Amino acid sequence: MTQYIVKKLFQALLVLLIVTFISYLIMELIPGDAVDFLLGLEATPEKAAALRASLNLDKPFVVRYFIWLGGLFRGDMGTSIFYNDSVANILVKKLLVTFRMGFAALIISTAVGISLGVVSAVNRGGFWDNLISFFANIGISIPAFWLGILFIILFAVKMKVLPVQGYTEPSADFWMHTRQMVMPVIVTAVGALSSMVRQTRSAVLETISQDYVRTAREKGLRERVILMKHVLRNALIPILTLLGMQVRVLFGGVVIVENIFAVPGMGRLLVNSVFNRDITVVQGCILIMGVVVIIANLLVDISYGFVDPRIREIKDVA
Amino acid sequence: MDKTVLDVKNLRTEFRMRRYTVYAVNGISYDIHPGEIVGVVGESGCGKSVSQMSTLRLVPSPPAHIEGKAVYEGKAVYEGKDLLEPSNGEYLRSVRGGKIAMIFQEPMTSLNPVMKVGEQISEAIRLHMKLGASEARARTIELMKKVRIPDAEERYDSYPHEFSGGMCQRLMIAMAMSCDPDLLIADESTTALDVTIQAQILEMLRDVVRETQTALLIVTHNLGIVARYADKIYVMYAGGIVEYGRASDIFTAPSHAYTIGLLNSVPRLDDDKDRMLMPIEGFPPNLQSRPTGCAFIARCAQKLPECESRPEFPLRKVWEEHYSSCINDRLDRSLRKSDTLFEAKKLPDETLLEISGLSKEFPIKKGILFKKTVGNVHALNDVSLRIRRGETLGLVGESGCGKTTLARSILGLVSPTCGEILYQGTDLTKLDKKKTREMRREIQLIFQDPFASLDPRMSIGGIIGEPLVVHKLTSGKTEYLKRVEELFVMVGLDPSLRDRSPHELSGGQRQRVGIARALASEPSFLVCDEPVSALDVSVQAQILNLLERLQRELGLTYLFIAHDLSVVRHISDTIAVMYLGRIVEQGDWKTLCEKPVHPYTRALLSAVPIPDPEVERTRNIEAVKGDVPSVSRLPSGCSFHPRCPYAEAGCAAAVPELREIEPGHYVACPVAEAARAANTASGSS
Amino acid sequence: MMKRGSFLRVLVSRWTVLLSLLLIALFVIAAVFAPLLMPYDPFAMDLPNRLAPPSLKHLLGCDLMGRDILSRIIYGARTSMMIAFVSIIIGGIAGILLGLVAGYFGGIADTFIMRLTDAMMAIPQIVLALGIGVALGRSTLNLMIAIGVSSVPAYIRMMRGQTVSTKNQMYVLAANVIGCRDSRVMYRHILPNSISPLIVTATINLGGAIMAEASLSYLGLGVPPEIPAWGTMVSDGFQYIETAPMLSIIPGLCIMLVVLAFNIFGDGLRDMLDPRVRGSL
Repeated sequence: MTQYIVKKLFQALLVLLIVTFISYLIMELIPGDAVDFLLGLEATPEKAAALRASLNLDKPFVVRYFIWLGGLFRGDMGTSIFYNDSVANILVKKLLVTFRMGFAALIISTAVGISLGVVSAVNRGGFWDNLISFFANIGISIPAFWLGILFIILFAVKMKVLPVQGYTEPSADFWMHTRQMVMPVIVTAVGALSSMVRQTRSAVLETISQDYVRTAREKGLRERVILMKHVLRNALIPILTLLGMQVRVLFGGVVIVENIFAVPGMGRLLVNSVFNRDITVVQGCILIMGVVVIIANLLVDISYGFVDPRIREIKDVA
Repeated sequence: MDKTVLDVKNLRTEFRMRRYTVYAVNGISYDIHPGEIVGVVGESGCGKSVSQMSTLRLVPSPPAHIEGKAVYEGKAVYEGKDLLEPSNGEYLRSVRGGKIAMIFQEPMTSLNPVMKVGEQISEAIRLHMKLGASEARARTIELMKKVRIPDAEERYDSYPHEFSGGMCQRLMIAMAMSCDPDLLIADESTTALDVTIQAQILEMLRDVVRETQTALLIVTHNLGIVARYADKIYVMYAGGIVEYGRASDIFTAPSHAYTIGLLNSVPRLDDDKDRMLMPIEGFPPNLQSRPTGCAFIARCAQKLPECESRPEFPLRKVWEEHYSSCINDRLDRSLRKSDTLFEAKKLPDETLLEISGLSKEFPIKKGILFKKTVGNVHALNDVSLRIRRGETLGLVGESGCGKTTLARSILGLVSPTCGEILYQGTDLTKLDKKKTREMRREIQLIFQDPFASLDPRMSIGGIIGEPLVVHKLTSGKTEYLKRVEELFVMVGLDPSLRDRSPHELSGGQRQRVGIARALASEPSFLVCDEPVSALDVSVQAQILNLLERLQRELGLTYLFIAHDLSVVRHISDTIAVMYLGRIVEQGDWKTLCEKPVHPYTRALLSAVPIPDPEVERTRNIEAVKGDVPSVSRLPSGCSFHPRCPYAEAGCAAAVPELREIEPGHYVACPVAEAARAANTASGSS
Repeated sequence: MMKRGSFLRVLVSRWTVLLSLLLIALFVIAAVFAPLLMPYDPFAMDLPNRLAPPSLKHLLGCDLMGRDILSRIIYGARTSMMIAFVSIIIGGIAGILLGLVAGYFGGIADTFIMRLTDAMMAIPQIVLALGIGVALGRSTLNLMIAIGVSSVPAYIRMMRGQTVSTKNQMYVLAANVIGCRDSRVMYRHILPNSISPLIVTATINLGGAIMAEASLSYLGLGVPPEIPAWGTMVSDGFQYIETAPMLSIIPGLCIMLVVLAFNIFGDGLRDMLDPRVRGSL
């Protein structure tokens, strides 16, 4: 098991390294560099060259990448040219907002998704299955921004039970914070919830058809016991796989939802920085999202080991 | 007559799909008494398993995997209550596992992979016997000891993947026996296991049921198993029982054309070599329409004119406790000898393939960043073999003995660690990739599973013709089509099947396709890797006869790999026995089967049941103990010594050499050789 | 590919699949024949008709510039469909080839491709598309490339898995035994036998690509603002949700319907290709 964890940890670090490279590469490809932006009209060839040298922009691509990477290790993610502040500082504040929202959405989508998926699978072909499957299909197809607008029209404009948009720190006004977060959290959760329902349903159905479930039936166990003791634990493996991917999906959702509801989190920061051509911030956002997703996947990989005894021993017979 | 344990009356199971219905079981009745061992035999798809699962309502209904409905009519009466009556659901659950227990075919998948095995067994004990956790644990460990699982206390907390297939099946038996059932149903429960393990498990099962007066119902396709163990036999065909009676009566006086067909199509270990297998031609009906009249009529070689017109064939009494639905009173039961076509082979003494000192090790690698080799799997150990042109060399051994690695080495699919394979003077191990591809025109392979080895997306014609395309053997479309048609005819396939896809063919037809593909490039040497073990017995005979015919017509040489000694014995001129990567005994078929020397060969031979209760009664079974060890941790010295009944102290010390004890007979066991020498000496004095 | 008749059988047995196919056909026709179907020029401003409600003249009303909404919806279908199909072709082909290579050859190529895939899978797809789109500059073609590339890792993973399991099938060994070269084994045996789940995924991903395009357009980072696109229309209407909610609701509904149709059709296709389910249909 330790060996398995160490192996996964190593893999995660390697992937993280590639993520830094990708985020560096993307921003490197953007035509025009910071020098043009900083100097604007005052640009003269000499001034530009001097600034370039001071920003290391005259060095080859790979060297610049490693200089940047070295900065990362020291916690230096660069300086935002727009906010005139260190990127790390800006991101920490925004990440907390996004994290609270994303975590709530993750909990809701997982808990509700698994329950509905099991109900759906157990009643296969019945009324509840059809109803749940229908809404799950809608849920994965509905654009988050549109659902957000529908919610605003319904709950904020027509019923006036929730505020339209905006964000209040929970420390300032917790009740307002909660009311403001209801719609963003639900809208973020809907897509992930629907895919969880579908995945759980198919995992449970797949497990029910296995030989060992027949054995359990042959032993004379009740269907409820078979479901709880034999089916669910085995169905957990594909569910966990999806759970790892959900973090990525939720981040994608957050980018959009924060922009609809004017929540000042990382998603909104990312989009604004793209408009502002604030490259270091964009880089930072991509990187942080990558780190969080990689950590989530690592946790999922480790929990496989707890659920499935076969994974605990890695056997590498070439 | 004493009381019955289970009385099944007029059981019917239909799978009602949306577009068609499969009539899997059509009104069968059977009963079983305490302490009795009953065999249900039949080929795949005859409904033997479905009928057993139906009595316990384990057939998915409402559908879990298969869409459709299983409808039961009839009664399965246990303790006077009908198990199939829907209102008896609660009662049925208490019977399942508690009173009637079932052991399935696939032990590995029948255990929950994420639950400790001990808990899986004690689960049923706690449910049915209402025992507490610690008592259930104690009973579980006791049961695990009873089914001879080593270190039962520690193994209680192990997971299924830590056990071998044989051990898993023992666990399944322990689970089935856990609540002292009145009836144990073993559904093909040893089919997936090696013969020596199969013998161990069945012997143990018999001992256990005899001791506890439990009734045992063995469902199998293997006639030898029922001959060895069953008191009473039911023969099933196309969802119905066609004949039943006492085991001895069924084998001495089979009274249904199908039973006779089955018996005449299987090779036996005590056969005359020139016995001809008589396959049942054609294949069973697909059961998508309700069978009327005699279901066997289309394949019957002994039908009477009135068979065609009769609407019903009820079981009628032919003898005391012996019933059959066949109306032909003058059935021909005789076995046939080979006619002139199968005359004795005259082998030239010309070596076609010579293997010397062949070894193959697969490294076991471990480590996180830099993988180190921490051990080796010794798949092949210093194997030497000579195959003469035109002969059939049979290679026997259980799973993991290296026979497949040997086959793949010859084909250049695996590169051996050391040794050489000379084919007409060329060393196959030294060829580069291109030369190896060219060599594959000469040496071909026939696969075990005919379905898995045919590309499902290609047409039959395309599959058979592919070697012609790959090696550019024909010029022009007309020549290609002509050659493909020739190949179809050669293996007895109708050329009009050309555009069909593999899944539309029956198992026997698919294996013919595999053979035709192998023959397309006109090879002289064929490696047949378990070519008939996935086929039903009646079809097995068709393929064996085809292979024999092709050998004579085309002058082919075969390396015939199989685990079934009776099949190998039937087809081979020379036989080699492998155990854990080594050849332990080799000789011509007669010597090897009739005067085996190596203890492993003897164990193998005695583990194969002969489909004849008379013979079985007088045979003495030399059971070997324990499991086949893992090839990654080979025992020192003679690999067989931990399981060998004759092992001496010296056996663990040195690897025995394969020595020629008489011309053409090689044995790697000094102990047995010495015993034999002593015997001959005392015999002559 | 699939048994004749099974396609129709699925359509007939499941009305939802039939309905989704009709819906897809409707939007594809709208996209292809947009110039013939649009009642007005989607770009023509008509300020007197600003925010005009639906009428016989303008079936769905007009937007804040007085442009005909129906015409813009039809043109938007063209934008969405074109971007979706082209990006799926780009992403699908690249992903399938890389997955096939990784799965078939294994070793260094496999490790390299798969770690790269893992890294791309660590970044949310929309963020990845956004990043690539920004890096390449804003144009419709670059947007297609961005969405296409961001979908590549999913195809690689799937194709690799398929290839590895197909590679271990006996018929692939059989192809080797009769003397096929690697290229023939890959092209004739592995590809045809592993492709069907990818076709299903690609179908479902058509919906995903439409969603991605609409989301980016909504954020103002998708197609150039002058081109009518559903996402942009939802976003433009957002300011008027109190007075003219239909401005946002109609294009959003179109997005949902198309995505839903592709999802349901993809599921139907999956069942059709799955031999276990096929028998029951």
